[in-house]
Amino acid sequence: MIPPIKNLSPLRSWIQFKTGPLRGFPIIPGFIIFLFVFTAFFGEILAPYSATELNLPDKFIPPFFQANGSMSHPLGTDMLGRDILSRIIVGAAPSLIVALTVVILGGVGGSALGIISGYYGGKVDVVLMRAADATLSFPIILVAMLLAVTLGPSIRNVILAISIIIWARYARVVRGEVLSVRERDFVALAKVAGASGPRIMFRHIFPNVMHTILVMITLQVGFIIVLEATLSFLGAGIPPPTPVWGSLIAEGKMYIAGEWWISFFPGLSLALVVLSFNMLGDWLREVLDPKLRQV
Amino acid sequence: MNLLEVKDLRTHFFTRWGTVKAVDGVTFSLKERETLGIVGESGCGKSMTCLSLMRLVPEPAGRIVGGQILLRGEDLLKKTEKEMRRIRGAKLSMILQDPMTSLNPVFTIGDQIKEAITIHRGLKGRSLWERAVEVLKMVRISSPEQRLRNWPHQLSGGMRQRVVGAISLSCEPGLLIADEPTTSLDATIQVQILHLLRTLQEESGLALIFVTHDLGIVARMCNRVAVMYAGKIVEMAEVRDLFNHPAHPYTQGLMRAIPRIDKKVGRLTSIAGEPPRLHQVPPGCAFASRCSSVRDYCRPDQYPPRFEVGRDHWISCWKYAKG
Repeated sequence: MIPPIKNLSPLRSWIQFKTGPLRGFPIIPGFIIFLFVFTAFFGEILAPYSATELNLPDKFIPPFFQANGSMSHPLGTDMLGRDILSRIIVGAAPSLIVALTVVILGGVGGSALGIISGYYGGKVDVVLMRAADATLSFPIILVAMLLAVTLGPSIRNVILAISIIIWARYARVVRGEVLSVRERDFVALAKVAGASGPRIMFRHIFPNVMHTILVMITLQVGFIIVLEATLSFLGAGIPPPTPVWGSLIAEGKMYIAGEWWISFFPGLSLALVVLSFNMLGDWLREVLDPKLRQV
Repeated sequence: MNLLEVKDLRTHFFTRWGTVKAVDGVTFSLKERETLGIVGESGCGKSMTCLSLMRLVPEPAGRIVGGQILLRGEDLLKKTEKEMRRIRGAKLSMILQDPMTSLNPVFTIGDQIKEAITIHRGLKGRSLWERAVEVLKMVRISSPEQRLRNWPHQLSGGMRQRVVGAISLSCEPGLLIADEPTTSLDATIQVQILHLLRTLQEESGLALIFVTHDLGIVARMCNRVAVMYAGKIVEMAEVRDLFNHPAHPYTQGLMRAIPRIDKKVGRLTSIAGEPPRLHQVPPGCAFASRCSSVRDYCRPDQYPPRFEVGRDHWISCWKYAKG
């Protein structure tokens, strides 16, 4: 019945489930995401060294596979002698917190506004969609920086800034879906049965657009993490001494020619996590999209 | 008192090409337990008449601009949206054309049947479940307890239409509007559904408005028939009367186009031309341009008034005005 999911990436064909509900699940990206979430929760316990304490005699130790490197600091140390691995591990938490909160605030809020806009149409639609247009027309980094600068850099303000920008994307996509779902006959039947507007939106339309929202959320998590890292890199994000991946990359940029590992490993972690979320999103889209499922 | 009294109902659509008079002065009445057939070709305003009765005209493009809809003496056009919600499903209900898309694919049959009952009756738990089983039994679905757990895609078209019927009838409305309920089903299933509707009507004393373009179904199902053309009712009669003595040239044309199994006829005749576009209907008789019996007395500037041509049988045609 269900057509086999094509292999979109070499990573996926490497090892994967052949049957069952997890058919085609990207196992390696799934493992990376698991690792990311796990370290985000238990970072402080897992980290072999303190992420913030200075240890100047040990500065600029290269990673273990280079000459002078040792397994006591597998990914080396930075210019202040702090263990890079420990800083990456501890830095996972703020990224996850930002990503999750933004998804809940911006994603859920945006989706709700999208459903309302699509269902009611008319003036409500015009007002909400023009607001979304306005939001989308701003360069995202500029707005986030502006907000961070005016409100002051803090994790709360980073979340706020990204949410304010990201909601419009959800609203847009969800509205489009709702426009087609609300014309379906079961919505008419619900109206005939005497269901109210909110009831139809929540009970009949929302479950039918949920797959879109879910896929968008996974695909956007990567984007949000990158955006937060970008803001931190630019100094408008989460302020030091909290180690976040964006500022870890920024700190190493002066030493990139010689002590490349200071920037490289946080950057690599970021790339892997974002890539993994995107691949998970791709997989979810294939599994959940009814258009791809129908035979 | 009549169950339903529709007076001069007008539903217009305001488009950039002009005003489309989808329903333009429709008047009819319906007694308890009666079945009224509404026939006419595609786009003549049958479905919009039904949606107007439910107050579910797609807004903001469409609007009911005038008339009265009296359901047991209460004017539905004076109700607020909130009051209307309490009436829909409970006092009048509707079955839609396509059972394949009328059910929400993400809920079980049970959830969807229970919804209407929850809205209007506020039942919960065990009694809600029992009522849902009862309703499925009513539409003759076997082993209803198991069916409640089924998903829409597990049912056939005929079964789905029964479920849709069950949802519409779950709160015992006095009036059911069936908008081409069997058009998308195959012939044997059609017969079953029609039979079921008849039985339900006898059991519960339901009044039916039956919209179709199949005159064969009208003959089996209805007591009275309204023939619609270009947003207006052109002829209204008892079903026997209409088939034996069709008076309006349009109805006569429809009758000549029915294939017959008992008599050898040559080519079926068709009505030449096509219906007028609804945003530029001429002020006179809308059928005049296609009518084979159009004469000098057909006034182009005025719509023909109603004329009684028999007991409970009237038409709008100039032919009967000349005498």
